[in-house]
Amino acid sequence: MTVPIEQIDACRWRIPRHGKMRSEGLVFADAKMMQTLENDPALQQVCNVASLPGIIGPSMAMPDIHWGYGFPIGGVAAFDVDTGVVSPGGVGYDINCGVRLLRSALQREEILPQLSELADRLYQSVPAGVGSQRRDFRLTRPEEQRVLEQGAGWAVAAGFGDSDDLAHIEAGGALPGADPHRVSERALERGRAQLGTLGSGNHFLEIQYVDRIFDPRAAEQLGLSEGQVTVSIHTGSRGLGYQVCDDSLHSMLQASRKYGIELPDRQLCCAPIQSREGQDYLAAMAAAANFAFANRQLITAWVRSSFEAVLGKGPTVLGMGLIYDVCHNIAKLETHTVAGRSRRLCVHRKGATRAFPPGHPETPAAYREVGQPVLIPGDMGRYSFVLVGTSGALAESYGSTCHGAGRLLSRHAAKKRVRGRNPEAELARQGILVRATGRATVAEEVPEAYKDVAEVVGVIEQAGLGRIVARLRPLAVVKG
Amino acid sequence: MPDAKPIRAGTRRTCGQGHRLLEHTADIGILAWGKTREDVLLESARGLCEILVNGNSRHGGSQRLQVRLQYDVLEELLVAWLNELIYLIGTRGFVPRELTIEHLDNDRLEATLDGWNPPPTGLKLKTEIKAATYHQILFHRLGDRWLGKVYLDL
Repeated sequence: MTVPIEQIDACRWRIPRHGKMRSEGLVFADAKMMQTLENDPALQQVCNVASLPGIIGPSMAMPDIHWGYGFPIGGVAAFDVDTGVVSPGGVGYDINCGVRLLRSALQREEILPQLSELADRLYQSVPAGVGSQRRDFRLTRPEEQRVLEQGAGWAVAAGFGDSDDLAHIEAGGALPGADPHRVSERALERGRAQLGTLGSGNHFLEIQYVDRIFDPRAAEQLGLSEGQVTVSIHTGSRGLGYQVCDDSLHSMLQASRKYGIELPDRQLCCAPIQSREGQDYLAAMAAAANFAFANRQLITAWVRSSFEAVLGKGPTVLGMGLIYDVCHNIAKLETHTVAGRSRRLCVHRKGATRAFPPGHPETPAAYREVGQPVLIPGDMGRYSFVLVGTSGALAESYGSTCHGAGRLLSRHAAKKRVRGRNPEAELARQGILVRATGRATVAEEVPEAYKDVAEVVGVIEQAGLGRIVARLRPLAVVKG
Repeated sequence: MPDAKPIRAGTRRTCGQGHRLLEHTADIGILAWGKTREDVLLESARGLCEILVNGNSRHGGSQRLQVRLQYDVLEELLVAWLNELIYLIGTRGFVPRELTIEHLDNDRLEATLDGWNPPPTGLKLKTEIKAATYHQILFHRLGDRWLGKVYLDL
């Protein structure tokens, strides 16, 4: 089925209302990206989201758009809290998959002699890979419930990090309204041994350096400078989040039938936000999101201790402060101005990142003059970017922007492409060390499997949905 | 005792049943077919194990499990069945060797799973699957065959 598309300008494309769409679609992309989407189901998914009840404004997609489940990856849609629905397909299985970025007082040249040792130590300290679990750290049932309520705050109280970290995490490291009793026993079981682990697939831990500064003033506010060593962590809520999503989908399928909601795709099953099912989902989703915040906080602590151990320097000298931590699979209750009126909305970001502007009350105080940091990882061979949020994003996309590069090749196609090659050796020749549990994962995650993230953030900046601050290049990557 | 392999397949076309894996940008799907609904469930499970598990067996602890699932809609059963297997394999450490559908009617499935737990040395989990999804889910009769299609979030 061909989706009708009209070009608005160089980086905006409208999908006019048609069929059962309640609003139009809006895709942020350039012409080259739109060509690659010609036969991609992702555009139909933008249309499908637009058919859900209570949608306010367009069903949107960011330039890293690709085929997802229910929502497209890169999808953003907002629903009126009184008349609209919430859909687990608009958040995803990996609830609060997100990225955090640590700065340091180190320069690239300082760590190169010990880079291999650092990579080895990180690989040992943070379990990664299929079914990764911690053997040294297990939660009791009451502790796990506290994690679900308190998020990163639980980890800080347990000695992993300090309170300054919490001021630099979206939502202060814990979503309000989390209810551990809305999380099933099976989800708790799946999560219990996985707190403090990276997982597999496209999750990673990466040592980087600041390769280029684009906005010196904003970089200074974020504590970034050229040549500086940084560390990125990309992971989420692990098996606990996956199970919460699956449990919720089962409930929402029944709810969709109960409330007479027609579904273009079962994965878009939903319930009115104000219904018992909608409220239960939001409470369970918040609990899973808090698990993810705690997960990234724990990993941060082990990253810091690994650097201390290998480099023989204390925390003050290392200066590994948290720049920011963002969600990119989440649904949040937010107040936005729509047609001149303040409205309370449930904003779904599925492979999309919040990008609030300077002066916004939810932009951390330290960054209130420059805007909320936005962390956009690329593939492991090229670069990642740090942006800040803008008023343009707030006005046009509910303060939302892209989340990454977006895949170009399927996992099967990527493995086929690298048959007979050694991707790890190729990266090593570029000066990038890889520590990975699964060779197949490395093959699936090769740089050419992804869009060039520079093109993605280029469209974002052109559209006014973010402002580029710095480019980071990888030095060492830990993958599952 | 001869080496036994975990239930696996490749594309099977035996006695009118089989499965193959489907490409997806970030993930993977399974298309399964057979003369009966039970065939589709078993072939889907074989496809799942092909994605999840690698290697040949040595001797391992054996385990028998019973699975009971209730459902409203047949397509949703396919998702529930695969998610139950994903949970047992990924969280409980169980690797299926032989599956038997004991009972399937309009709202209930009962199955017996024979397999290894712990898995033998040489049998490894190779892929982390978050869940079987409801996206474009199919489980219906087409002519004289039953067909099932499901996508997995990796």
